[in-house]
Amino acid sequence: MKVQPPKILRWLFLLLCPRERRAEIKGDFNEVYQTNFEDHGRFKANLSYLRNTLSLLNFEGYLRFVKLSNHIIMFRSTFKAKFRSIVRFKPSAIISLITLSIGAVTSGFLFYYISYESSYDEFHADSDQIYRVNSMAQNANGDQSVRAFVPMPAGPEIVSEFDEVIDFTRLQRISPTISYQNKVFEESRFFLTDNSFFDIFSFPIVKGNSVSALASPQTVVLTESMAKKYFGLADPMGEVIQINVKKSFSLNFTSKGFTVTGVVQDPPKNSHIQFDFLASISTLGDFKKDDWLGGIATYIKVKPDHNIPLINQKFSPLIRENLGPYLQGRFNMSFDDYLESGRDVSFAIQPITAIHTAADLDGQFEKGVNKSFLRVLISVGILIFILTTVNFFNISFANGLHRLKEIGVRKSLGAFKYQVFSLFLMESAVLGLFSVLMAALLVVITKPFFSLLQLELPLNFELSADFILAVVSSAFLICLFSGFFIAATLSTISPKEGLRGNVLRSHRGINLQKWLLGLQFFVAFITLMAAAVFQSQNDYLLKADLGFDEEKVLIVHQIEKVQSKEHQVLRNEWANLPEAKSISLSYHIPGGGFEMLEFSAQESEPLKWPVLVADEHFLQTYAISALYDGMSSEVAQLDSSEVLINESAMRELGYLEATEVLEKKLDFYGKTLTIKGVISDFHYENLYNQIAPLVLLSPLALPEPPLNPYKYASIRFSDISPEIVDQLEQGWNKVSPTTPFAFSYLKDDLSASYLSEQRLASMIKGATIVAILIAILGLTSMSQVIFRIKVKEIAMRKVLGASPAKLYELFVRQFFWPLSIAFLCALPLVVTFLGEWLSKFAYRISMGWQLLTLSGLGLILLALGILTVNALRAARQNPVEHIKVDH
Amino acid sequence: MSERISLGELEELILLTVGVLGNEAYSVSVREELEGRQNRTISLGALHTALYRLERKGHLDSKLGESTKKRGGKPKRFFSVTAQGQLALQQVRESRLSLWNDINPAAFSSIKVRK
Repeated sequence: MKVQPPKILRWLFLLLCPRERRAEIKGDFNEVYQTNFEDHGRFKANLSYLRNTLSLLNFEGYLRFVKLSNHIIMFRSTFKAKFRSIVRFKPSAIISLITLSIGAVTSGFLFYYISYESSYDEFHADSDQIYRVNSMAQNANGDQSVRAFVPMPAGPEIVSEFDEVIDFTRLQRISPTISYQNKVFEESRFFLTDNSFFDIFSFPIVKGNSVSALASPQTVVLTESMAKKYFGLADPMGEVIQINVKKSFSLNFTSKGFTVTGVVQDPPKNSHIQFDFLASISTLGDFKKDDWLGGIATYIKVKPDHNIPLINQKFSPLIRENLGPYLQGRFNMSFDDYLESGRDVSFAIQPITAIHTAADLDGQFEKGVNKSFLRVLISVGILIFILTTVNFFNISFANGLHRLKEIGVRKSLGAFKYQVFSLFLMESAVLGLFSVLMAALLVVITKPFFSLLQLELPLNFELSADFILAVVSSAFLICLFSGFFIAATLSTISPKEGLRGNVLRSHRGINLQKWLLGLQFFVAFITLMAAAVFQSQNDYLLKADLGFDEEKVLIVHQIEKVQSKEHQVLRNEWANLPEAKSISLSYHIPGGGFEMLEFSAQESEPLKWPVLVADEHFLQTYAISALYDGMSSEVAQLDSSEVLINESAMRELGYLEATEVLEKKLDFYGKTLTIKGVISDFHYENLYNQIAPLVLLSPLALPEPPLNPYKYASIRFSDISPEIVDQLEQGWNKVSPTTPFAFSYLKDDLSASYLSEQRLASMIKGATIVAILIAILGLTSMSQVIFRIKVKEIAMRKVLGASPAKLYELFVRQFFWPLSIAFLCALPLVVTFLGEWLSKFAYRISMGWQLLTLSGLGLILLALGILTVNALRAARQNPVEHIKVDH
Repeated sequence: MSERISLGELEELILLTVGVLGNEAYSVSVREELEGRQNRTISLGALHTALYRLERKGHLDSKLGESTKKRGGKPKRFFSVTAQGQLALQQVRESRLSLWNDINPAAFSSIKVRK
């Protein structure tokens, strides 16, 4: 049998098919399915299979039951009535349908997204047994840092010393240039790892042997997409790819061939280890094998019945036993002296599933998701959910008031309370059914909106069953909750009250509704104020003074592809453009990554500072000012023993004036460097952190001058236009015709580092729109209810000579307290909640009262506007019509 | 004559089709035959229900037959009309015929009634 109907249909078949004759009936069904499949295709075959399956039911008996059952009749009439009211475009039904679906999609999406973000690394078969070993280090100044790595020998030592630990694997990330035949690519997701990698993690291997793929030196396992990139359709197994890396302290080779021993599936998106290549760490041989001060990401697998605190306790003796002899051997320093000097190091393990949502550590491979970001989203999701439920309740309740007489009649004809109850419950169920359909439709319509948010979700997430399930179940829960409350409220109305249609008697309900409306506005206030704060912090991040001029700077990438001797040619080529004001070649650029290198001033211990390698035009191009008068920022020519430091570095060295620190010496990998000047602090990383020390070097000063000293060219223009980019490209093609011209604008690169903030802001903005929309709709329906209740009162007052202003006040007064209390409750919540979020930025806006009250007032004004429209209608009515008519 | 055996219209059609098909009568072929001859589509499940009901009433007899790959290795159940079923069909046919024979041509002017 080649084709089979979908699982669900087969399941339905088993459910409905009589047991004793199942085999033959199944055979008949299969035969027909095959024939239909061949003649009409899968869809029609499925459809006819479904029809055939359903017809297995004994329809005669079933129909008899349906025709006679009172419940079914009642449900059918309710369904029909509700359905007709919706298709006849009854505004109130449509409004509640729309808000319900919007609310369901929004909260369903948020819940789905949150569950996705918390599902990181859970796909590993033993995810509860896998831990990463982190280290906490303290330097002599008392500065602490938590790192996602431990020394190279720690992993093997832990496994041999700790009974609880079964296995370990280490991961070192490098960024090599890989060549195979005529293909050359820069790769950044390249890891050196132990052979045990596939024992610990569950990344399914497609080709090769997962037990021994990485056992021998110079072997590599690639992902399927890399196999395609380098080898196309050919079999990569056994081929040799050439790896070239920059000379660095963490590797003992610069160029080696690696044999492909396996192909692995691309890592799932919700893995915090994102790799393209896995190469055997045994390639390094004994390199750093005993270095107890270095660092490499280390993961361990523990026994199932493990005791975490116990493992954590055992680290301290392990460090003492191993680091002590190492310090003695290398620096002739005892472990006690080491502790005495204020330094300390300790290890702790972290569950792999917690890494993505925990704070980012130094040296972590991929940025995790911000915990407060998730917390904000969870609260927004819950708030929208409550809001929608309340709103659905309010609107349906208002509609229910129309039907007091109906309830009265039903009750006096002998309907029990539970019958009225189930009537209303069923009505909301019908509405719920439609809203689920509409929600599904909305998901499809809003697909582009979700992709706009640039969430790192699985690509086919719009259609994923989980997502649709989340939306559909929130829609259903909303209906269930609100339907229950409506039914409970309306079914208690006594027949007398109902028949008189005296809604004033059900005052309790109205009061409840008013406060529910207050709750809606509470949520709307919170989201609106939060959106305002997020937006202004974002604007601040994007517009803050960075200490350099980021406007009109264009970055050309891949300078390393141009031979060093051609650099001057390229520079001349570009310098001829009249708009180009200054050109600087550098290895690092602001907003990019920096390497930490070790410096030491006389009589002080090593300081790990980031370095920025650049040529003499860097300061001019970025408009960074120098603090020392004697130095011109036009040209900062540095030779192989000269450096510039920034203000923070100067302060860390213990000087306050630039003049004092000049000509001071720094030891740098056996060399002595002279401080030639001090530059003012600028934000070379991002605004999360305070500006840290920075050392500006010429490539000549590096311990081993690299072959390709520069990666980027930064060009400052007086004016940027597309023609200029063309001209730059022409210049580039003259020098390096084989490499494509790649460029970006500095400002775009910098704003990209705040992507998660922008994403948060856009999510909150979306949620705010939904919240305000729902609150406004709730207010509209509420004011209509009040109008209906007070219509006679207003008419009488009018007859007795009340002024329109007085009537207006009478109307609006109803809403004064709910709205003001909502505002007053929202304010402190927003201040504390967002204060926490803001505190992670070293540079942030102050949450002024203007911002919060202005956004709050805006919403109040909007609400007043809507009330005014309704109030005017009330004030302008013809009293005669309402006094004589008994509603 | 023994007591009357009631037979519905669909039941009658199914019994006749089983008779037409002879040794090859099982649910799928019966369905195809009904579709081809009578232009009447009946869903498989309903057909099963009807066939088993007729068997229970004693109008049909059945035995299990061979299976094919297309059927996923499941056997066919072949049906044949029992003596009682044949009698029932006979009765229906006779009662119809006697009515047709006595039709008043004046009442059925638009079709030609064969005498």
